[in-house]
Amino acid sequence: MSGTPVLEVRDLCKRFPVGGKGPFADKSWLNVVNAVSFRLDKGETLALVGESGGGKTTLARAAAMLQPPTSGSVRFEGREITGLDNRSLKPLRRRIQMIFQDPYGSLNPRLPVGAIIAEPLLVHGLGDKAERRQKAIRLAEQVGLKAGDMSRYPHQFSGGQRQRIAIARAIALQPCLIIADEPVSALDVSIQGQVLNLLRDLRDSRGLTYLFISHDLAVVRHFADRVAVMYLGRIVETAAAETLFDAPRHPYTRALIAAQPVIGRGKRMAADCLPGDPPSPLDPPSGCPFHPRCPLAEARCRESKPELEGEGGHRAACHVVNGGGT
Amino acid sequence: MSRFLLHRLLQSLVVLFLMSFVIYWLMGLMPGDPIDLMISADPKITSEDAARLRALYGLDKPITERYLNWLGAAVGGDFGFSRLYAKPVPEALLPALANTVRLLGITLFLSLLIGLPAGMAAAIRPYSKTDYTINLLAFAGISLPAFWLALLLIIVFSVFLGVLPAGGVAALGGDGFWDQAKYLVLPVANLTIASVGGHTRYMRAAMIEALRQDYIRTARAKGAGPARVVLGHALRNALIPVVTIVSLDFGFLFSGALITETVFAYPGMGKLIFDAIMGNDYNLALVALLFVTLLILIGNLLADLAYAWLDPRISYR
Amino acid sequence: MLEAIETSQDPTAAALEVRGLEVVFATDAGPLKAADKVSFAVPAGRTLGLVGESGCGKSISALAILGLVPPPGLIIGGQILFNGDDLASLPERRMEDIRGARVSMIFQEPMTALNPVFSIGSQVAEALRIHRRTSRPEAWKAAVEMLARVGIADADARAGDYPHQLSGGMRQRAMIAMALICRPEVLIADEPTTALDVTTQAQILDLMMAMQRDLGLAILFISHDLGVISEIADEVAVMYAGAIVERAPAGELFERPLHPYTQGLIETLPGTGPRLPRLPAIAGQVPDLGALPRGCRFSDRCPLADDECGASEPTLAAAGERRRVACWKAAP
Repeated sequence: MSGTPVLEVRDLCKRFPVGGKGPFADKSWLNVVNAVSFRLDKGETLALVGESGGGKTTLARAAAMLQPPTSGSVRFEGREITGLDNRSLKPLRRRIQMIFQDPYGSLNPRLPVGAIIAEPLLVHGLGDKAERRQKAIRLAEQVGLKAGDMSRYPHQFSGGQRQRIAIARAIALQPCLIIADEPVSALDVSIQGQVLNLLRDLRDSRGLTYLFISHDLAVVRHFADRVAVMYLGRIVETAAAETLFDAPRHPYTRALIAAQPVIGRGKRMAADCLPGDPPSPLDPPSGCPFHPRCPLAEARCRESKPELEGEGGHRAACHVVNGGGT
Repeated sequence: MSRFLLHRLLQSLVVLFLMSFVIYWLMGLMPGDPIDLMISADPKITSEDAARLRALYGLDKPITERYLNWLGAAVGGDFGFSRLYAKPVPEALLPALANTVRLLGITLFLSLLIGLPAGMAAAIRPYSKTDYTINLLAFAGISLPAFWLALLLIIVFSVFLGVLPAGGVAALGGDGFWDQAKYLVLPVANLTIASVGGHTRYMRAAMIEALRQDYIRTARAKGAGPARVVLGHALRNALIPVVTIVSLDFGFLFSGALITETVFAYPGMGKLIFDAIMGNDYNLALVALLFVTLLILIGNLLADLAYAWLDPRISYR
Repeated sequence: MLEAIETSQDPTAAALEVRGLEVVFATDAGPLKAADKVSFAVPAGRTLGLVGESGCGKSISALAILGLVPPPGLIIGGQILFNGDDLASLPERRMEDIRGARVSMIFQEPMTALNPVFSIGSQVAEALRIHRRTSRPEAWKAAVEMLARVGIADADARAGDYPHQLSGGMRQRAMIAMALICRPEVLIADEPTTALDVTTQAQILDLMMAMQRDLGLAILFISHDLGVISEIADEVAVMYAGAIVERAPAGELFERPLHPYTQGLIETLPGTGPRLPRLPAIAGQVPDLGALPRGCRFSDRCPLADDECGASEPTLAAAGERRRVACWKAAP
């Protein structure tokens, strides 16, 4: 746990202009990520969870400098990378790779699998043609594809196989950090387990660090070391995975866990499901952003924004559970 | 909405202004000027005369200066004098414009009236006999060369049957409705046959796309019959892309019916612009081309308004 | 078989019964059997969960009930018994009277399933206009009431909104209002919560259960998510590659799955128990309907498969009192 973290993000904000174009339009800002900080140590898996619109994907993309953050600091292996131009970022891009939810959308349909896997090597000018080919075959075998698959095209594969292709391509440059954005959400249940096992094997054999984005709490509980729960662009709770699921503190985390369907629990009892929809980030509520839906909300929750507080790496942003007098 | 309109109108003005310069400049690039034409018509003009005439008309000045002079006059409402027609430009332009509006307005109306339902009929059962028949006719219309079709129409209806005039706009002294309308029949038929195929194909494609959407399945699951599914649910969505095509046609039609106008000796805008350019009639060509630009801009604006009317997801603020 | 016929004549037994349904898609590579002798029944006031992975035929079976199988799909066999009629052989005109009025359906993606150019109020009202010939203002009034009933706050104003102006959860509520406004007896829900966030999913599941209690609805609930099925279904049918491989009351199925495929599905889910370093995964890929293995369709991925399984296909046979399983190896 000591040493330089692979990724350290501090007070990262990302906002987008919204509203009409042209000289007469109103402009306003959509604050998608709001003052988020976290660190990711080597070999660790941090999961970002939360519902759509929480800012998980934007945070990950900003942290990887795919979309430069509006403000805040991102240190990758100890080095500040915000403000770097594309040329200086290029060597870093080798070390940070992404895997997406829909592998089909990220695979060029006109290239055979061998060329897709070897493409990052080509882009970064590594090896000659024969070496790249050899390397691509080795990578394909590592992710459970056959050497014979190399000349086939993405559409000839099932969803799970395509995700394996995307993974092979992602590890081709021997990255140290992989950002996996809902990597198993589009896969069938019987395939999901296979791909999660593969990601875990690669982590163990290659010492990979994962920033793992998922809406599926069961998958996160199985796969992550640490979890950060996001709501409306903020981290509202963060803890080691076991701690978070065994003793969630923030009411939003509790509601998420309670809403997650579990097999074999019997028919659901209509009870304490969270009311309403997440509010619009264009018009966020005052004080704690969760207060309009929160069963515990008090007067102070409407007035002041709670800080992320707590001990032993388990921190929550909630006035009520963090205690303290009113 | 009003803010959007204001924004778009300003935008259109800027485009019009830029276009006026581009057109002016392009005409300046053309070889020859009106004085050259005078020389070729009258060999007695000496080069000193020519130079004097150029200075008189301001043709010896640099093009930007000439443009600014023209612009200043045009803003003041003076569009100059048409050399070819020997009258002020607006007077030369307006009759042609009226003819064109009549010819192409009717054509566009007929083409949509036939093309949209035909496209829909084809889309309801793709690859059926109806679809194949409609497609065959549409492609025939698209593929027939306009000049050839025009000649064919003249041969059949004017020469053999003798029921319709071969060209022109009106007989001397004939100002009854039929007297004027019969001159329009062949050119309208010619242009409609040429454009209806395109409208049919666009409508067919848009309709097939709309009928593939999930909400069509929802409508059917709700118990909607075929008529309600097609006319109630698919049509409005299918019209959205068709509006784009029609708005593009709008500007194009007002400038591009040259061949038809020529074959039928119909004095419309296409013919006018062509003659003005060939005759080095700067003033007339310039204003006519700008007018076409304006019509295209209006067409686009109408299309944007139609989008907002058809599609609630589009709102202009 | 005799038993099934007797029970189906009891009007309270099944609101909807599907028997031996076969749906075939004619493709260039030959006919594909998307639904192969699918049989199930949904009693009034109860929920049957139809669970399976992509391409297993669950959605096609559901669409077949309403006669909405997209071309080139065709129902080539079986019966769909509803209220004494066989929907599989009913003329289109009469199907239109049943769709949306007596058997309704809601879909996965409420954004694309709603028509983007009409307000949700008019889309909900349309069902009444079609089936009851209600006047426009009355239908609108009823639609507003229905929208309020499915939990849309300020329904009067929201009814004029267009689908893109609503959140995913609100859109799905509008879909439910549209499906239920004519008081149908059967609701078919095809992955109705898959596109929603978990807290919204919980709201929609609760809403569906409340509407079921109020209206005595028979619900056919289709999902790939075993957790959701476990929380909403009374009985579960598991589909694999076009056929039902196991059918059982929900509690028994999740407690003691009999078919190796069901067992595999349940085991591979990361659960609430202790964390395992690796998930027990089902080997291989979901098969292509055009290239099913010989014999049992699960035999190429099954850990228990032997020669017998590759030789002939097991039928869905009784295994205990209320259970059925299609497996040579399953011990009842």
